[in-house]
Amino acid sequence: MSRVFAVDRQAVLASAVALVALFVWALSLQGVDLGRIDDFGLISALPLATTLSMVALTVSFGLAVLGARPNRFVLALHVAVLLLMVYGLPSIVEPLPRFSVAWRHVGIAEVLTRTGGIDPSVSAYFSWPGFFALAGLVSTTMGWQDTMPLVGWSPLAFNVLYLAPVGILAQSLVADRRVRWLAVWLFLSTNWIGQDYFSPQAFGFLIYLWILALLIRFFGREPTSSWPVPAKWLQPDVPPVEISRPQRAGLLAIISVLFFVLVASHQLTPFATLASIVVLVATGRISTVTMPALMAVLLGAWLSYMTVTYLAGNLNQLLESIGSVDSSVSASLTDRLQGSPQHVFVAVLRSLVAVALWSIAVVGVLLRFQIGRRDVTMALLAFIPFGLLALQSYGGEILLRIFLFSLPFMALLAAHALEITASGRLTRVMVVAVLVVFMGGSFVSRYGNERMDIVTADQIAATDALYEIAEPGSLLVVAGDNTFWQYRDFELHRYRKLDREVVAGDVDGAIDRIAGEDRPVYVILSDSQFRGLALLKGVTEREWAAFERRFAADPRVERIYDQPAARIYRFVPGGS
Amino acid sequence: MPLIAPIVILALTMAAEIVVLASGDGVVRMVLVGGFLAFAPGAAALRPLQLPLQSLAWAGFAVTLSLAITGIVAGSLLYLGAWSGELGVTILALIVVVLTLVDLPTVRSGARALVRMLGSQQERGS
Repeated sequence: MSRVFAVDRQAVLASAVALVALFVWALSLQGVDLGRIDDFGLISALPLATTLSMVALTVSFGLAVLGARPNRFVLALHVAVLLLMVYGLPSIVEPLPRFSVAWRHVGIAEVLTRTGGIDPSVSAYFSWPGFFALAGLVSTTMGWQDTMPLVGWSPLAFNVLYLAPVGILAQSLVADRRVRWLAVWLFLSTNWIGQDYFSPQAFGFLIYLWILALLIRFFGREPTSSWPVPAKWLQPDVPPVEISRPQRAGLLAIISVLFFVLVASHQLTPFATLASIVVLVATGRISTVTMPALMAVLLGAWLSYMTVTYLAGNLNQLLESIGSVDSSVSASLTDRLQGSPQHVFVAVLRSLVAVALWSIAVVGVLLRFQIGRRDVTMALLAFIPFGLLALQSYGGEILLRIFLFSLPFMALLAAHALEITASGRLTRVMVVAVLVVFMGGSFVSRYGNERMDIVTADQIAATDALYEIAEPGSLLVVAGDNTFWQYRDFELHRYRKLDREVVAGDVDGAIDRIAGEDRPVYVILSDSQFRGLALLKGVTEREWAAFERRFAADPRVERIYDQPAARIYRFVPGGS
Repeated sequence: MPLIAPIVILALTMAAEIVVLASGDGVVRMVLVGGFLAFAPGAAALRPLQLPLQSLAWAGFAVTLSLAITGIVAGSLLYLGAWSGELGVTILALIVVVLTLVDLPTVRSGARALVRMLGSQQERGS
């Protein structure tokens, strides 16, 4: 009786800490000062109480999960609070949905709903329109003008949805309840790469997780053959769940539907999914031997028929990059370690978080072997995504995507390492400290670009003015990637960036790049562009001002909109 | 009791269809149409399978599957040049109704009886 009471007391205490942390966190948000955001990102704008409440939550979770009898309701409460604190924060404190690419995605869906058709020649997005079609139908039937209402809360919504398949994967691969909960926590608290915004890849990752979770849960088996991996290395920790033949048939049909939607929505994720399934089938860990062939046919058919326009213009480039591992790594890593000193610190921190997680995961593999748990399925699934390095650099993002695809399995392996290590009081404290470090490092990493990712109403007012002024067919020109535009009339204009010229201070070069145009040319220079160039390229305020002053002094350039947040210039070839 | 879930799914479907066709707006439309799109198609497709999943996992699966089915309908409308929110919801509603009816106990037992009857007729014929 007293033992039950003691367990309850621990559970009540842990729940109270989680709720108090949430309460303090919510109150502290009134003190958030977005004007203080520097190149360290959102963390620089948060009051100390916000940060401390997140630390308190993490410590409470660590002690609860490593305690004598972890209570799942208490742990679920901590996870729910974590979700809100990490993934809901920007939507609560920022005036508008963050991240310029998310705004562009609104524009892609807007084209579909406005024109009612798909023209693959406009952009690569229209060769994989599944996600945008879905978003467009949602916004149309909800009676919205566009998909903007979906953008702000997308990261929170996607991460809530990720929980179910990640939970099933943990349940299917790991017998220990503590490890499962630790893995879920690590999955949520180390996911710093921010690919959960309103995007096809966020949706694709959800499908990737579900397909793997369903196949391992319901089609898992104990391998009998010892080729190519010894069968004893694949003996599952958890016995496979048996379902009837009609259930298997129905589930396979559903998995096929999910994969088809994935193929129609995103370029990269189907390859990661297929690679994982091929390895699971080849090692005999799942029984759906024909599934890879079916998936390959679906993928091949889509690429052959629906992406012809895109491939016609890009096939050579895609084929050339196959096998160029060096350039893929360089584009993903070296090229990102530049910009302002604070930003370089954040970029290094990102790499450290990833390397630390991967290293602990490797320790997890070894410790599992030591205690006689031989199932290498998690290790296989964690390391298969690294094969994508051989495919292409994916615009310098391939390492980010590899981190994402491997994250659930790395988290499971790292959770094993932490759980096995936490055998004594001191080691338990160390494990809790590791969770706090991961949480802190990952939070700073995730919101480390906030100086450029945040957008204000006056920035959007300037872009709206640009769209009102510019006739269809105009060339719209910006100084950098970080422009909140293309959220409407995407296909009606042409676009150009002058970032290289701005970084080099080459005004003549910039003018040359727009001078030969026979269509109306409008240049918008905004604070958000400057913040992006300052953060990522180290452009100073003085250099930016000098560039704009010299650009505006050209007789062919006429200023037609002038606000503190942005200026719009019309370029008149013959002079005004 | 087994009829409660199909009734809820069908009621949500009907309400969403009415709201969209009647061009209703505001929070009611958001709740009904959002709830329908996010849940009904996937729930209707999953129910006949009776998978051994915990309720939260089942709900998460139903949401993901609903989004996938909605995506297929939306993409088909675009490629066919027949884009219309009303048509999209109507097609989804039809899918939900068919899947829900298929799963009703009376339809299931009727289908089983039909299969048995056809089997016995075939045996007599041969």
